[in-house]
Amino acid sequence: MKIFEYLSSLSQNELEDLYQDQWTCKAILRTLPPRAKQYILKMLMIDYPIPISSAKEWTSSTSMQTHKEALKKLFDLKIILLNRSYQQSVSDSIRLNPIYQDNIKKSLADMNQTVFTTQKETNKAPTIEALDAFSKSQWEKVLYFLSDEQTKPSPLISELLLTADLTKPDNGSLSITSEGFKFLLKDVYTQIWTLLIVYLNNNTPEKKKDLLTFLFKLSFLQLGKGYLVSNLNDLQKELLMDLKQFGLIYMVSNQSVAFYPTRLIISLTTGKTLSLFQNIAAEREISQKEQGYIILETNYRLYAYTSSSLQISLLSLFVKMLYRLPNLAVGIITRESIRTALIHGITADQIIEFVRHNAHPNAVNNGHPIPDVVAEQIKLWEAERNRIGYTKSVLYNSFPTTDCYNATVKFAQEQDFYIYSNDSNKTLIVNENGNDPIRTFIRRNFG
Amino acid sequence: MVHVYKGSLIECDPPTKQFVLWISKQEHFDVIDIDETHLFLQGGDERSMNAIQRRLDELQNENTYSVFDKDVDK
Repeated sequence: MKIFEYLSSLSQNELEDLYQDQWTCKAILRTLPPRAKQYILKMLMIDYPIPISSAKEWTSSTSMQTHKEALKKLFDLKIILLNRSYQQSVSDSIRLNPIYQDNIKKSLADMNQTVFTTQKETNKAPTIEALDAFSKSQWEKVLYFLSDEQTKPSPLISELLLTADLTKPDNGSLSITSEGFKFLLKDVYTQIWTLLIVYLNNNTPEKKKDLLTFLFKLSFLQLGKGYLVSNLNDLQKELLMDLKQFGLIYMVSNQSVAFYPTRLIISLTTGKTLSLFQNIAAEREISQKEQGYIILETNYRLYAYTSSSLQISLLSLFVKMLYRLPNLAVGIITRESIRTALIHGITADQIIEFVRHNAHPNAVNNGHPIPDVVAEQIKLWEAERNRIGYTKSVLYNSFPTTDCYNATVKFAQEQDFYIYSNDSNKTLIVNENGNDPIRTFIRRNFG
Repeated sequence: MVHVYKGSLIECDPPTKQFVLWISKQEHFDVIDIDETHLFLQGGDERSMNAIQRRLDELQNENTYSVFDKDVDK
């Protein structure tokens, strides 16, 4: 998960600063894979370092791989610390990071804690469906900025997208980059984290820590409940306003007394919804809604069964859209439309992967989510643009004798400088690093 | 005496090679003809490579006919 990559990149001091907060510790514990969780709890009550060899007994030899992965993750997050011993007689030892250990202990023992004060029951509170709809439409807006060059994003979001290299300025407007296209294909949590991490990095280290802590705290809130804004500090209020633009938080207006967390922010650190309100049937319904919508025929016509402008504007990056009906859009893949996408830096594989990923269930059941002929043609159109390959290099010719030529070629091959040679006109081409050694070689042996 | 040139090695199919040779004559690039599929562009930098790439692109466009694109543009 994206968040682990980010946390692992922090230094030990930064991480320990974060671990000062109980909620952060708990949120991280919750997010870790089961085995890593188990190891933390195993070591929780041990206050002294234990030899690393005893950790080997925690696993059977068949699951050595997961064991190693779990330990590596914990080392990366500095949750387990390794004491290297410099004496022969004493082996290396490990222990839990004392700060982390202490906070987990405390939070497990403390039964009645609340993150933020809840608002008194009112009948004005938005329903869960309304919250879901709000966060969905708000996040789609963010994605929409990426795929459609005409829309003007809010300053905060356009700046984030620019810093994340997802868009680039192009004649005054913004246009999507190859990174941006890959971004659009990822799942929503990875997308949110990508932007949030850019957002965090725009702030000073002290602020960064507070913001991250706040984010972790938010994930403990309950869906459908209102929380009082007045209990937050200024920095948290500031973040709240920004999170609202992402659709992670719902507020009736900027001056509202209460804010409502949405499903997105609550499941942000877990990657799945932990809400009590949601049952399996609802889950199934959501996944039904999110399934594919694209049918691509062998005549290059593409039918998209969708009413979402976002999906259509995404498709129009590489498809020439023709008609739009209430629940269907029709387009055609042409050389021109693919070329435009390729010029933007989107690769043929990305396009094919996108169609395959979003193929309509009926197309998938047929066994051909994307017809071979179309996939091949897209690849050919890409290859057409790369008809010549070129390498920076140095060329040697007019060798005095064949012996001299052969010896130099052999030398270049041995030293790994060799790129190409043609025996009939005694031409040798080597890479740029090879220039000096070969010059000396020729001078020494034949000069 | 051995001659040394710095530049870029171009690798492509024979027709493209002929086309690149033809462009080079027009744009006064110094090229060394190696064989059917290889050329050496003396002092070839990004700029001259981009110029070649652009000319190739134009050639491709001239040589493609798409009924569909024409239809829609009308």
